[in-house]
Amino acid sequence: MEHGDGFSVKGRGYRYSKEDVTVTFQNTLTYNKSFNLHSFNVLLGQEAYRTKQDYTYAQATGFPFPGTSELIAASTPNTTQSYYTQKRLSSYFSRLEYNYDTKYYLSASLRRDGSSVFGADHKYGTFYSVGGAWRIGREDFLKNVTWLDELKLRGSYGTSGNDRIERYASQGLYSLGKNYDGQSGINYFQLPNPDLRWEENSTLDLGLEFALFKGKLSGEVSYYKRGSKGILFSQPVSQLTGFRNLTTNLASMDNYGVEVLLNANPVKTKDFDWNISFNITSNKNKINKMTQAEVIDADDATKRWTVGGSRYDWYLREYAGVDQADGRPMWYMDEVVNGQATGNRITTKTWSTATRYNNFGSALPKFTGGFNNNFKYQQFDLSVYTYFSTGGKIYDTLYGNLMHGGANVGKQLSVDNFNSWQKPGDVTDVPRFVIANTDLGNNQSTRFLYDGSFMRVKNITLGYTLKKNWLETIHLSTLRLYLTAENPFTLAKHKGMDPESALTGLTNNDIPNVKTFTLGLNVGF
Amino acid sequence: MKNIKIYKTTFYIGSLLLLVNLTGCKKDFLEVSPTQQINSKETFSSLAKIQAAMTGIYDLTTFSGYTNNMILSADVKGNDVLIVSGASNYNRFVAQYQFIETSSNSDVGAWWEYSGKVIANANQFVANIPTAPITDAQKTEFLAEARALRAYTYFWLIRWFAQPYSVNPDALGVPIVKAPLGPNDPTPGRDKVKDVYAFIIDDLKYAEINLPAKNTNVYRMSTAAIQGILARVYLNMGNWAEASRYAKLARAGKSLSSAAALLTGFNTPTTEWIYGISVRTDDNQGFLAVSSFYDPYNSGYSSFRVTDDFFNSFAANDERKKQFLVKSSITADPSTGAYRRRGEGYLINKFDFTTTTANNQVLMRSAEMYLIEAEAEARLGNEPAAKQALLAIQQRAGVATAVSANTGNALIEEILLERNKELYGEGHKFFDLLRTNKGVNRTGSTVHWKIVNFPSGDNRLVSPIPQSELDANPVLKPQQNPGY
Repeated sequence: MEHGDGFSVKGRGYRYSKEDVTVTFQNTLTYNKSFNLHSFNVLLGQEAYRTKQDYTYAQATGFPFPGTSELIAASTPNTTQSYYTQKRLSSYFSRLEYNYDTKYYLSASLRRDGSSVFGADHKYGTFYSVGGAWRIGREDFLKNVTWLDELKLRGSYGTSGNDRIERYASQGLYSLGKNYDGQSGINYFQLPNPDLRWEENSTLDLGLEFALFKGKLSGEVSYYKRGSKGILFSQPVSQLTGFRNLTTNLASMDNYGVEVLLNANPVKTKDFDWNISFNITSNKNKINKMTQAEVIDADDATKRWTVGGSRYDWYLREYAGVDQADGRPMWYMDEVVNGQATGNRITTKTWSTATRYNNFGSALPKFTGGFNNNFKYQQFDLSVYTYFSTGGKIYDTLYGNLMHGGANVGKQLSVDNFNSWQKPGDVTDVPRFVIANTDLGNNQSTRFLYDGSFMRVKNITLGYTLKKNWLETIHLSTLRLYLTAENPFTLAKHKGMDPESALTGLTNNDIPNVKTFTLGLNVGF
Repeated sequence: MKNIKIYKTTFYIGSLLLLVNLTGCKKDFLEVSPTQQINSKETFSSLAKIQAAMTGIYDLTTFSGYTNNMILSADVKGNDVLIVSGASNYNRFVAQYQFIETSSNSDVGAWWEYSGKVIANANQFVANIPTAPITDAQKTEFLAEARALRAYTYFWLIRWFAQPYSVNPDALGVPIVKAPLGPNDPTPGRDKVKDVYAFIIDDLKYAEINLPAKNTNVYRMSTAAIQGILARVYLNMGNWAEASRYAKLARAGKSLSSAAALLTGFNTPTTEWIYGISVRTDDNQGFLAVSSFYDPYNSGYSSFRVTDDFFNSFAANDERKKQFLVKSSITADPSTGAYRRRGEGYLINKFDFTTTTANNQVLMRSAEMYLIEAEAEARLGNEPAAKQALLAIQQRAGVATAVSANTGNALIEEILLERNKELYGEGHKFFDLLRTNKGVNRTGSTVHWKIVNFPSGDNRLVSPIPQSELDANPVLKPQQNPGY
């Protein structure tokens, strides 16, 4: 018997064609000039860009016999669909680079970009950058410091634009194809936002680079600040407007931190070579300005944006444990008496009445970094790469699903359900287990929020390269045998989900980083 | 040598011209328009577009998470119907059945969201029709239709999200939005229940007077449909005289269909249909329709049942009892039909889902109008009139040949029971319990798997305003219904 999707309609077939064509027209003029110790490089340019997508889809059902798939064979046409969208950009740009005696460097750029996605009066944005560097090590007064190979101070500031939103995001639109009762219909599809303009991203980078002791130690210390003004964001709006969201330039925020990078080569002999590299970065996020007092992130309701706060701060109901008397889960809520908040907190057993708070830390790690070791001994090589992240909080949705306490009969459970409350007086943080449980104990709350700090050996590779003179006899140029282990060890504060989560700190349904072992052979002829 | 130079110059100039043509020197280079949408500014620029925009409002109401979902929810929250929460039900309507919806319940969220969409689309008509390039007669017609749709939507909203009028007309209702609401406009707060009812009546009366008599399509707003909605609204307000008057007006041209139609008449319109949703095979309605949940053959969700008490309330000779006859399989001979109880209530065969998934959805029948008239007249003390109206329904069902002998409260209860039998599956029961201040009480039921007892006025009988709305609307934020 035939079976499968579309069996009941004697087969369902579709054909579609999607064509993306991008045309870029770019004109640039460059000018290089060096005289004495001065060196100039100037660039002027213009660019026009157009990308279009052309799409057609047709579907039909009712195929005469198995094996036929062309739509002409089908007896009933169903859905047809087609669209054509485009986006255009028009840009003018310039750049100037200058250096004097390869000691002092200066560069600047200026550009004006127009994008078709923005409101009529806001299509163009102006962006610029300036940067400079001073190779202090080249100054005469340091020429005689023999242990100093390089000392360089650099700084730059630049802005750029972001227009990565829907192609017609600023226009008020009625959508076609909203047909009813055999009549063609249209309905309101998108609110207009004529004020929509470029999101401006700025980058400030100040750094000191150094290399000492003939390359034995080198590194860099830098401060970065990546600012965003007028962040393009799908802002939730009252649904009485007819819509849930509107693309706006919602907020301004800064991401900033300090980055330290160190490379060392403590041992280097003919047979043995050891390289160490270490880096650590601090991360902070701060929202500076918003067009409304607060916004719950529409894509991730566990975060609330407020001025002065961070977009990564958790915003959740706070779990207050289990009531020893009846085993039901509790959460905290603000006490309200006669419509007035008393300032006290009380517990509630109704999840939806619990108050959401935001003092549970951030999904953004305080520090991230890596530690890398490379060894070489004669024909052997060994490298170990370790990554760490500390200070971020993660939310284990998957574990939460497994702790449903009997709400979803027949669904998987974590063994931790064995610790659930069973009789009055039991002290446990796992609520009672009852069939068709409606306590909502595993609904989103701090119950499943954990310290996301972890350290993971991302990669270990051991290799052996055959000597050249051995290979010549068999007419090969290289031959290396290696064994690689990816993610072999992880030390995590919270066991369960893959601690390497997205910036939101939420488990997604991505495949976690798996342990992989590879045995390989590289042969060059 | 000189020629080469000329060629070169020509080439440069040519390139430059190409550049000028292609790029930003032209101001409109950056003006682009989509092909799948039209600019909202153009919507009210021609009759054809305005007609399409009106059709588009009806299309919003066909969304499976909206009208169909509200009907099923109102059934499953009443006492007569229950849901079997098996694996193939995917937890649908289980929260509504148990009265455990939270402010993040997606079904309740869709009622709110799609109501907002219908209101916003109707308000576009209210704002733009006066200046549209169409005749005055056409303007009035479109305004009447738009306001009727707006009123019908508000009637759903006010019954879900506020205490019933019969409990407290001064309670917080829902926000009245009379004109297009922009994203930067101050967000509205909740108006009183009685003010929302006044707003609904104002819209409906305008529509009743101004919708042309030629609009008789049962799948769109007609004078009869508007009068029927008015009858319902007045019934909820306890204005019995107007409820009865409008019920009679609404059914005037819509005679009751035959008894036989009680077994076939819920997918295709019969003479008594006043209003319904058109569903065609190309609408892709899928499995989330009323008929799919009531289907007894596992062709659809097939997860709705009626309780034993309700089943037993039908007399043996009641034509409507045959709505529970279920064959051993879809293809079995009709003579093998039997009442089938699966330990969890009786299977229901009122709607046909096995022939096609494209079933039209009935929203209003004149049978309901007879029952409104009967109830309103009985409550007015006009018992002979009440009994006559009731008899029309009982006669058709084959359970009575003479008027009822009941009087007073017994008569009213008889009429309400007749309503349950006639209208189950059509989204009435929960709201009937609310407006008659009976609350929802399943105590003592052996079939219901969740026993609840909520007296009239209980917080749990009112739906939560969706959290997503509260988060985006600072005025509504402190106005959530108590208990959520």
